[in-house]
Parts: sequence; C-alpha cells; structure tokens
Amino acid sequence: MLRAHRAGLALLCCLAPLAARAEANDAYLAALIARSRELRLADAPQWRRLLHYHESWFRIGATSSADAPGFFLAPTGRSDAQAELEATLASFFAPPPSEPDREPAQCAFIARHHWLAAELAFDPQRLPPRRCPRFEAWYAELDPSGITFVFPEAFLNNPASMFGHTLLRLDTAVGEGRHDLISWAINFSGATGNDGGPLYVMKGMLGFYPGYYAIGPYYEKVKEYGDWESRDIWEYRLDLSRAEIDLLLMHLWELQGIRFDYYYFDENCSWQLLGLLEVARPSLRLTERFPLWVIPADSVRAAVEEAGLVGEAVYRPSTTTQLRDAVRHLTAPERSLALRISTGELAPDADELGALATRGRAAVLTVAYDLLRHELIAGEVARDETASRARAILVARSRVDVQGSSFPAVPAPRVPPHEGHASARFALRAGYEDQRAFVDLRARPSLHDWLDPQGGYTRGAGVQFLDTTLRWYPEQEQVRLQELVALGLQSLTTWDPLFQPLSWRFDTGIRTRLQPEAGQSDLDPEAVWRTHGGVGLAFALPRDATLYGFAEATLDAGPTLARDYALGPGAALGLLVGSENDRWRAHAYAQVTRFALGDRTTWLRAGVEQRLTLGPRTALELDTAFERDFGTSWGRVGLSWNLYF
Amino acid sequence: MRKLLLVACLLLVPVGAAFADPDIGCGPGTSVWQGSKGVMPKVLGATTNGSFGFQTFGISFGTLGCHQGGTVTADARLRMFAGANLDRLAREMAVGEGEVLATFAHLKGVAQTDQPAFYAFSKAHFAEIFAGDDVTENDVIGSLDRLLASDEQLAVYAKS
Repeated sequence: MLRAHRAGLALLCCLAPLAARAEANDAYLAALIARSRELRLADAPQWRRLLHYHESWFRIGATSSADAPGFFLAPTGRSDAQAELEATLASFFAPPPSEPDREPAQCAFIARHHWLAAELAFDPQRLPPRRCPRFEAWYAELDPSGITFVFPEAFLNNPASMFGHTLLRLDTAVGEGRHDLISWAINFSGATGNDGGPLYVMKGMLGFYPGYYAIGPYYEKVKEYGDWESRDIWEYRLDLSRAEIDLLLMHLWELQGIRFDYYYFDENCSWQLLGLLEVARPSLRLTERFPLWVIPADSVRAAVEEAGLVGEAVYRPSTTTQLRDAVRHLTAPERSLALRISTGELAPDADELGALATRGRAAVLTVAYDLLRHELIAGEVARDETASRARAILVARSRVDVQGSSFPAVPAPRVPPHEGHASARFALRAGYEDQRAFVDLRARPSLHDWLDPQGGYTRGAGVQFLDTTLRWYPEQEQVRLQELVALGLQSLTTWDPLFQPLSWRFDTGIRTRLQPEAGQSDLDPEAVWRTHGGVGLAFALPRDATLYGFAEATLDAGPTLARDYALGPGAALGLLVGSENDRWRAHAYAQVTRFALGDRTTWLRAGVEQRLTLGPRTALELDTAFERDFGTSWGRVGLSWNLYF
Repeated sequence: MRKLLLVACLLLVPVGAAFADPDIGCGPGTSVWQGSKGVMPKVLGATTNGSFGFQTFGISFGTLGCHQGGTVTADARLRMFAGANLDRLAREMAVGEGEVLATFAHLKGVAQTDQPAFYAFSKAHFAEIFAGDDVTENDVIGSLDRLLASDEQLAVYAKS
C-alpha cells in the first residue's frame, strides 16, 4: 500500500510542474485571445493579408485564396479569421513537433508570430520566443538589401506569356557592388506539367493548375527569358525598407509548399506578388485595384505608383535584341562573313578575316559566335555538330587584340512598360456605313494594337481580348452587336537577312458582314463567327515605317451563310507609318479573301485608319474604308474618341 | 542536415522539361555549348512563365545544390554559377568583358583592383582554359587555377 502511495506521490511530483505549466499556458492563452478580441485583431488588414483573405464577387464574406489545408490551423481557418487567429495563438503554446524536419508553429508561421507578438505584446516569460535556426540560415543566405520588381515583356508565341510576367528579385548588398545575376528571384507560377493545346488554355483559365512560390537564382530567369524566349526584361527597384523586406521574407517562409489555385486572369503571378508587397507594407492597396483580372504590366504600374521607385527602370535586353542590334553595326560584307563563319562555311581564321582591321575582325567573330548560339538555342542545329565550331570561333576571338565588347549597349526604349498607355480602352465612334449613320460603343479590356500609342509595348505586337463593339443605327433604331473579338494576336517582326523572321496574326470572334437581301435595297448586317489567320513578312522602311504582307485563310460560320459556313484563302498588304514622337500614327491596308467553299464570294476591304493622341489617356481615330462583299460595294467613314483607363 | 539534402535531391527530380541539372556544382558537371538541350518552347503550353525546372528549387535552400558540411561553400557557389552559365562565361572570357565574367570573378574572390588583369589573363589563355569541346565547369575552373598559379599578380586566386 505504502509503496503504491510513494510511487503515486513520486509520479505526482513529476507531473505536477507539467500540469502547472499547462494550466499557466491555458490561462495566458485565454488572456491573449481575450485581448485579441478586444483589439479586433481578426479584422486588422495585416492579419487578413497574412491569411490571403480576399473579397470575392461570388462568395459572401472574405475567404483565403490559399488552397492548402496546411496553411490553416483551424478547420474553418479558410473563412473564419478569428478562429484562425485563436488557433494560431494556441499553436504557439504547443510543444515542438517530434519529427526533426518539422518546425514549431512559431517558426513555421513566423510572420504571424512576429505580428501577433507585436500587437499583443507577448510576455517572454509566459510565451518564450523560440529560435528558428532553419529560417535564420535561409535568411542569412538570402542576405537581402532591396527588392526589385522584374517584368519580362510579352512573348506572343505562348498564350501564358502573352501579357508578360512578373517576379521579384532580392537584391543583395555585396561589398564591392551588386551582382544581380546571383541575386535570388521569387517566382510564382502554375505547375502545368506537359499539358499543351486547348486543354492547357482551359485548365489555366479555370484554375485547374496548382501554383506555388519558388526561389532560385536570378541567372536562371535571365537565361529562361532573355536567352531562350528572347524577351527583354525590365527591372524596377522598389523603395521598400529593410523592415518591410524582412516581413516579406518571413511571410514567404510561411508560404513554402502552399498551393494556390492558379487562375490565369485573376489569381496569377502578378496578383500574388502584389499580395506579397501588401504584406510587406500594409498601407499599400494593390490587389483591390484589380477585382476582375490583373495584367502583369498593370501590376508593375500599380507597384511603381504606390511603392515608389528607386532610380530609373533598368532595361535588360534579351540576347536576340542584342544580336539584332549588333548586326546593324556591321557592314554588309562583315555581315556576310559572320554568317559564313557561323554556318561553318568559312573557318574563323580564314584569310578573308585577316584582311579586316582588328576592330572589324573582333566584331565579325563575336557576331558569328552569337549567331551560332542563337541557332543552337532555337534547336536549328545540334550540339554535337557545332561544339567544336563554337570553340574555334571563340579561340579566334580571344586571339584578336580587342578587349571588351565591339558594340555599344543597346539603347533602352524611350518609353518603359509602366509608362505605356493604360491597358483598357473605351471608344465612342460615329460615322457612316453604306449610307447609314451609326454610333459605336466599343470596349476593349486589353490590350494593344498596331495603331495605339506604341511606347512601352513590344514592337509590332498586338493582343486584343474581348474587344466588343455595340452599334446603334439611329435612323433604323437598331442596336446590335457589331463585333466581339474574343482573341486577337499580331506579331510583326521586321525582316533581316540573318534571321529571316516570319510575321503572323490570328483572330477569332464575331464579325458583321453586310449581305444583300432579296427585294431590299439596303444591305443587311449579319453576324458570323470569323476565325482568321495569316503568315507573312514585314519590312522596315525609313522613318520607322513598316510594310507587311500576309498570306491568309479565313473561316466564317453563321446561319445566314449558304451552307452555314464560308472558307477561303486570302492576302493582305499594309503600311504602318507614324510621326517620330508617336503623336500620330496611320495604317493603310488592303485585304482580300476568296471564299471558295461554303458561301462562295470574294470579300475585299481597303482603307486607312489614323490615330492622333490628344492627351495621356485620350486619342482621336479616323478611319475610312472601302468594302466589297457578296457582289456589292460600299464605303465607311468613322471618327472615334478613345479613352485609355 | 543530411536528411534535408536527401529530401532536396528528391525534390530536384525533374519536373517536366528538366533543365535544372541536379549535379550542378557537385557532380560530374555540365558540358559547355549545350544550348538549351534542344527544347525550344515554340508550341502552345511548353512554358508557363517559369517552369523550366525553376519550380524544383522550392523555397528552402536544401534544394539549392551541394551542401558541404551544412553550408554552401564559396567553391560550390562558384561551380554552380559557372556550370549554369558556362556558355556565356566562355563567350565573355574570349571577349574579355561581360556580366557573367564579372560575377564569376567576384565569386572567385578576385579583388576589384585585380579584375582588369584577370580578364586580360583569362582572355589570353582562353584556349587552354576551355581546352576542349566537352569541357565542364570543373575542367574550366581546374585549368584556370593551374594557369593562375604561375602568374605573379593573380596566383593568390588559384585555389584548388
């Protein structure tokens, strides 16, 4: 009996302190929770940002955009900020997890702990702060001193990239100057596996891909965008303080492995990064500016306007841009030599090269190597066949007594992306078509065409999304949907003898064709769904003008067409000119399509459209056209007032 | 730490088009003049603004590369950088100037005052540094160190 008692007493003595501590913890936890309710911390903007809570237009109340259960400590944490706050506080008192590669909650949710500790003034006796060695090692490795917002511009060959991309770079403060290539890049993107085609597009738009944050060396991104995808990169150093950067990194630590459903339009890379910036500086209001969708260039604009910039935007041209620029500096014989050396037709130490001056030799060899590398990256040549040629060219170059680059740095475009025209455009247009007066209301959510002010946008590129025109014929009292371009893409790349690039364009959407009706003198506007594409060439002319020609194909579908469709080949020719300051721009064009199948007819349109900039957000457009369809001809003239917003 | 490295290596198993070579910096090395391993994203869906192996880095640095005794050594950093940028390094060494070359010199610990001499030296000895068509970053760094050892001004940077 006594022995049992003694054992029992001994046990009690061991358990007693533990029990006492547990009680004290419970008491302190209750006190903290009560205080948090008093201060209404669950409603604080910073708490909601840490949880990635957003108002949604089809849900009542805010919920988190994070889709990983591991991000929430309370079962209702995804929509109940108070419950999540209490569960977070409780987790700080929990004993550290037994598995060695799992962190205590204070470290796994370090940003939340940091904020709650400050707001609730944690007593270090009652809730001692823990060391977080893994976070500290990570932070020491990153060694951040500044944040740069990086914008690789649009890449039209891939729909995921046609609006550009955004990522953040953590700039290190290195003793003897910064070395951006070894800085760390913070990137958010969707993991799409090997999907392609329409499935990829659908899944991306509807949020079927998981998105994750990743950190990696910036040089990997420069290679990916600048080398492989030939995209120019703009770097905007933001004005964030050291404390703000620390907060951002603490929160990033919390986002390890947390999945967010990736929605191409509204919950994409740019939206995520804006959210990160908002955590760093709670006074920023960035994501709420974009309730429906966010285009990367717009996010750059928002960040620059609100977070402020340090210095100028830095332009980092792609290797293709640099190469095309270098080629312009060569004379025609030098260009020919460079090409022949890059293809292996001529040896890098051939006599023809020896005849050049030293400077010329250096320039030719550099371009020859760059051309070869360009072909290699494009997959046009194989590594095994060309490695020794690449080395031989470089050896020859190393022996030329010219130290340093043969070419000046590529000048940055006059207008950086964040100063380009706003991405949405509204237009009010009045005119005559087929002797009927009309008024058009046009809205284009994004983005840009050949006639818009060109500054800040990729040269020769056009992207239109849901470009909608409603037309009202006042005399006939008729309102109809004149046009709805679901998607329009244009890529004009001016030709040069070394690259011989192709230009192309594609669009699909509802268009109106004027059809004659039996027994009526007027033409009847009828809607068709038109899909149209073309491939061709573009040529640079003096004074920045461009001449283009396309071979095209058009498919129309609609109930008013004979056999409900029309298909045929066509051709287009056009000229783009503008004033040097881009206040005025004009596009003269002629298009013809011979619909050979279905509703057979020839469609022809020729015209001139011009744009005159009035102010930073407004412009005037005048267009005149001659059109012939279904055997009848008519003219059109319209004057439009455009607003960019 | 070792467990981290194991986990890290698993995470580095290629996802999709795996550019990220898991052995960069510590393994046999990557050969120069690889281009992009022939995969050019011209087709719909090939890239999604950043998935050429970048995702495999995750957030924590366990996935970064080689840990030798718990931290990333300066040497491992140099090799990783050189391995990932070997083509550009070759080009800039032959030319005698460039951002990759400057970063390489910095990672090698070359003092700013010695950098012009370093660039001139590596340009002059380019054919020996990039001694063959299939050299890896380890070969390049090895050759460079060997040559530096016999240069009066720059011998201090020959670490091998």
